[in-house]
Amino acid sequence: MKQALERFVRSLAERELAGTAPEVLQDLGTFVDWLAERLGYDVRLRAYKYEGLERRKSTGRLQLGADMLATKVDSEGKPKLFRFVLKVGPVTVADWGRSGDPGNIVHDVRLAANRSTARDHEDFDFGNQAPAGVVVLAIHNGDFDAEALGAPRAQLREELAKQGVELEWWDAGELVRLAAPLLAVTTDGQQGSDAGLFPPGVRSFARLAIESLRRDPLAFDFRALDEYIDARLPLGRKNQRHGAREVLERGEPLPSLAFMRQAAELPLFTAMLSAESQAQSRGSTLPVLEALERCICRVAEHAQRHVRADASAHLRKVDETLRTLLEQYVNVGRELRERLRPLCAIDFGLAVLRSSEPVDYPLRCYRLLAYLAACGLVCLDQENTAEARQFADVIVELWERNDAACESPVTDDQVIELVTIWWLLLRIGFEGKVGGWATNLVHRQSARRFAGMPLPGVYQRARVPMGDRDARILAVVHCAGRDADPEFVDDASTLLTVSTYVAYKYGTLDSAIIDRLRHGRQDQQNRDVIPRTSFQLWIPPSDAADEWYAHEIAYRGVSHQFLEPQDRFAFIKELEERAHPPEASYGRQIGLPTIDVIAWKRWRTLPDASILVGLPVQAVDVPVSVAS
Amino acid sequence: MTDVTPVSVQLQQVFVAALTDGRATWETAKEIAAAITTEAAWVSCLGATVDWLKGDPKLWSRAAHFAAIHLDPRLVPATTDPVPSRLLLRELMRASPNDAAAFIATIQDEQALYRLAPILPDLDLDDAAAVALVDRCASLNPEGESPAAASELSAWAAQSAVQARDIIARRLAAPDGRPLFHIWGIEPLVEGAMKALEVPEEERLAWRQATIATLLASPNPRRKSLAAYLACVAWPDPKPSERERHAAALGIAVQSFGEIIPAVLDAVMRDAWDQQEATFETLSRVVHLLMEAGLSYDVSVRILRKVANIASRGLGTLKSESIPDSISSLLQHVQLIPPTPYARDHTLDLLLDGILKRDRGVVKSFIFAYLRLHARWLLQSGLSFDEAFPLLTHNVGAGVLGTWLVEWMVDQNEALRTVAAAWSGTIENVRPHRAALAALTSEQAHAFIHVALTAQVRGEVVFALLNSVAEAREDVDELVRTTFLDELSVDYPGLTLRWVDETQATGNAAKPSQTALAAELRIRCLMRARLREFHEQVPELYATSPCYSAWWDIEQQINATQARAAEDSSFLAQLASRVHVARGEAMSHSLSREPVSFIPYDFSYEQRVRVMHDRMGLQQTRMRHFDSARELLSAGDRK
Repeated sequence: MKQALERFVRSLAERELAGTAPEVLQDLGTFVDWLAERLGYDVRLRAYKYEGLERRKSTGRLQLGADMLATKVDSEGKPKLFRFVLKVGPVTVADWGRSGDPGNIVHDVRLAANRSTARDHEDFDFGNQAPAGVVVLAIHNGDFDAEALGAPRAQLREELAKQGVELEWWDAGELVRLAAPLLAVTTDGQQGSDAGLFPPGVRSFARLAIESLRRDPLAFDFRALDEYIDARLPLGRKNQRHGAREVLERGEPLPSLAFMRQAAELPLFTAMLSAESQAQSRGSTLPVLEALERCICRVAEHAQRHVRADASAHLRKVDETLRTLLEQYVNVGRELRERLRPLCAIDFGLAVLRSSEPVDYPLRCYRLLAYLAACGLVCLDQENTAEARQFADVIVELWERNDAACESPVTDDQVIELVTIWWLLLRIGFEGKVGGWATNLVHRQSARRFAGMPLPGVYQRARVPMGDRDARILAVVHCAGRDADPEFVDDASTLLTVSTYVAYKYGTLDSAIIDRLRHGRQDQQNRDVIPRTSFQLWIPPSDAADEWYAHEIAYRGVSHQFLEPQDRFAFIKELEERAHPPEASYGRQIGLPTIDVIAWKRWRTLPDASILVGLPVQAVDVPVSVAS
Repeated sequence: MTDVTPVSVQLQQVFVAALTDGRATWETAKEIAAAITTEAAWVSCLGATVDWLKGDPKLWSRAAHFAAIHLDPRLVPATTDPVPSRLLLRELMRASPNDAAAFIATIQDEQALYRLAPILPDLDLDDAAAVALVDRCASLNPEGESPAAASELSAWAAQSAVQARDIIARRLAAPDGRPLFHIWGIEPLVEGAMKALEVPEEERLAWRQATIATLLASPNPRRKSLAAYLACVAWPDPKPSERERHAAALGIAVQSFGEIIPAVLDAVMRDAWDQQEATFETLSRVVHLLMEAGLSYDVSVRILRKVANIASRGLGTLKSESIPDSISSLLQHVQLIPPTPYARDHTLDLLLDGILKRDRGVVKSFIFAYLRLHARWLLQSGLSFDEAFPLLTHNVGAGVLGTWLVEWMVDQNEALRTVAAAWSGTIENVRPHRAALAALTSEQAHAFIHVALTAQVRGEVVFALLNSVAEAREDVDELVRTTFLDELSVDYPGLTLRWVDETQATGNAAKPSQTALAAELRIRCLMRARLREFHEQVPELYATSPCYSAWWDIEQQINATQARAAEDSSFLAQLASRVHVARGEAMSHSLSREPVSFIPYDFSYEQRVRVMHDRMGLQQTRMRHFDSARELLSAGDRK
């Protein structure tokens, strides 16, 4: 939390000049307003003003140095007048050297000290009791070079004291120190994360999302979360019609500084969610993980619009924000991993006693293991192989104890989770395990087919939260048989294709099983008794990476049919030739390809199978963890 | 006899009371009846009653029915020959012939007919009464069977040959659409007529020949069947040899084998008790003809059931200690008779019981071949061995059956193995024999375990089977261990805990391998017992059930409106998919050593844990056991 807060505080501008501020944009003024109110100051002059429909910042010469005025009763019960001087960034020796320049913090502090208290009293109505003293609060959201400037500041303090004015100094560290307790959640959950920090335009969504955790941890308000993200970083794509085709075209890049500042708020929000979740007596980690995935996607979506070659310092800070989000992701994933670890020793440990388990159990296993796998992949991206190994070890244990569910996916788009898990494990060096699992998965799918049970549904999506219609169709076909719902289609599969590839390459799959699956069984009138199964693979369009952070790519790309999947070597060759990677994605460009995986998971875009091709050339040299 | 008249009057009074107001003093009548010892005395005593009834047809009819059905139990002990009713009926019918004909025509009860039957030869029936009698006799037994009271009717016909032949001629001349009586009614008459000594034998034979020819001339299969029957049984004494008579009947039967042969077999059955050899030979010939006839399965089975029935009756009175060759050749054909619950048909059980007393080896080889042939049907029907063969089960003994059970469970026939595994828990007091288990080869012993795990039996039986094989042999310890760890502890947590408790309670008496296994299982059980505690620490599990409410809705609808989807047509797939019905314990939130039994209510929402979590895996496991057993046994066979 503190880290996210510090990043947020340091990112703030002194004032946002955008037309929408301060409804949706945060700046140092709005932040200090919020902080001062929470610290008991009675703010008389805010950093921004409302005048009807217009908004005006407290700026210019008439300001006389002070951006904000507030009163507060001191320990002796006497009211004091506080004049806030806000500046962005650090204060250095050079700044002190330009103390005569207007706009310089030292200059403005002196100006603020010289303001007429009587005039302030008259203008801002301090009530019957006139302030007993005046304090100038110098605030800036950077570091203060205390070593070099300690003495000059003491000198300034003495100088002001002669005028009867006290001087207080809040740098970024002090701001974080003061604000952090206000955002913490008490152990009894009484005081929650304060959504009031956020600007009014996004505050309601943030509050809804946070409070939904408080109400019912199992019913997280995903809609509020998406609204918050849309308000903070609007998607900015436009629907363009090209003849009969309608395309959500790539939007304009945000100005890099503004983008950096808006993105910096997201880690703070997710940290607040995390704190809130933890406060709810071991609340679920899943809302935070989902929120992080959504935030990561949106930041990546905007970041990929900028040309990487011209990456400014601001864009580098965006990258850092992204890494912070990923770090949070791994931290939460680690917590999830440790919660699941005791279940590694129990058969069907991830199953609960509910009648819907034929569908929910596989959905659960894939979802949970994919979080762990994505965390492991992030660790690999960050070259933290020891941590990645720990994630992989737990995944291996959980898969083997819950193989029934892991080998029985219910939707074809769970190939995303499957690829995520296998990609990690293949990179770690579990080729044998993955090959065996893939073989078993194909065997089990074949057995399901010939027992008349449904295979993964092609058109249903294992998104979070799952659509009501999809949930109903899955429940119907798994409860009453695959023919019970005409909307259910399971005679083609990308998941089976990927599994067959992995099983052929790393396992011991008998191609006769694939042949049986492909042909099914027909009666004498050539009607399908057991349906035929098509092996298909989605080849993403070359510019897929431009889109997959923003939405699902459902109607573009090419679906390739494998006509002879039973021929092992030909199948491997055909798949490897066909599975072209799209143009380099933003994730790959910044060395975090896991962001792409997270985007596939988030938007249910089928994965780029080329990531499995050529693996493992050589397994990463991974230390064997204690757990293994 | 001291004072006849008062006794006669007293009896009359009793009858008057019984027939009018129903308040007869039967104690008095009983005392009188006990004192009467001769038939003449009875006739004398009943004279007054008969005279009184003669004038009132309504009362006469009531008295005749009363005499036929209710009189004897009231007057004489059950052990005594039912004299009073017979004599009263005879006197009543002699006294009023018109009423007699009306009475005979209204007989609806077989008991009344059988009271009447013994007095038939003493009656001088007019034509109407005689035809009514034949009609009653023919209609009281099912169609195609000999009439009731046939021997008595036959005796009457022997005495009244002219009248009988006249009735026969009228019946043969009558069209089948408006019969006087069922055509089979003439059968005892023909038999009786052939014994009428007053008619010369040549004339009788010529008349017989003409009658049979008349019957054969008809296209009606009933008449043809009757002709074949008569060709065998209707002969003047002394009759020709059985072989000759049977051949005559078979000669007619070949005209329309499927329709006529049942009647021929009925005729042959009459010789089964005292002419066994000839009967067995005829049966053998019948079966031979049957196989050549190419009849439908149902008809063939019906005929074979009759054949088996006759053979079993013949064997029952056969003095020989060995099995005739003709019976041995019969056996290979009666295998076609499908297994049936004893209450519905027990001809095969009776036949095997007859053979068992003479040659156990024949029975064993027959029953093995028979079960291989019908194992699939037995599996589908769920019929247990002791339900189909209770006599055999009892007489062969639990020890031998336990040995057979082991042999069946490692038989080359897959279906037999499976059905035997199911029987291992259902036949009362019969369990796999330890010596037989010890005698198995290593492959067979391993296969035995695989077969036991495919069985549709209660969990207790699976545990008992595994225990028995583990105790009898050392070489299966590893397979038993993996089975317990991988399957039973998951499917039957309660029973596993019970097994662990019992094994550990026996202390040193248990095998070391089992002791070690019990310790390992206990750790697993304890871990599973903590599962709910673990789950409470992981809110993510319950938060990831997106289809729960949809499933709940669907399940309610489905349970209320439609049956489950049809299973795949593959036999083993059907079998494997059904296994879960018998396998596993119901879900429970706590683990105890008491297994939570699964009660499949029609509208139950309860499901087995294993089915919820891994239905396909359950089937796959069973299929793997099938495959393993098959491979092991075929490998053992190759050696």
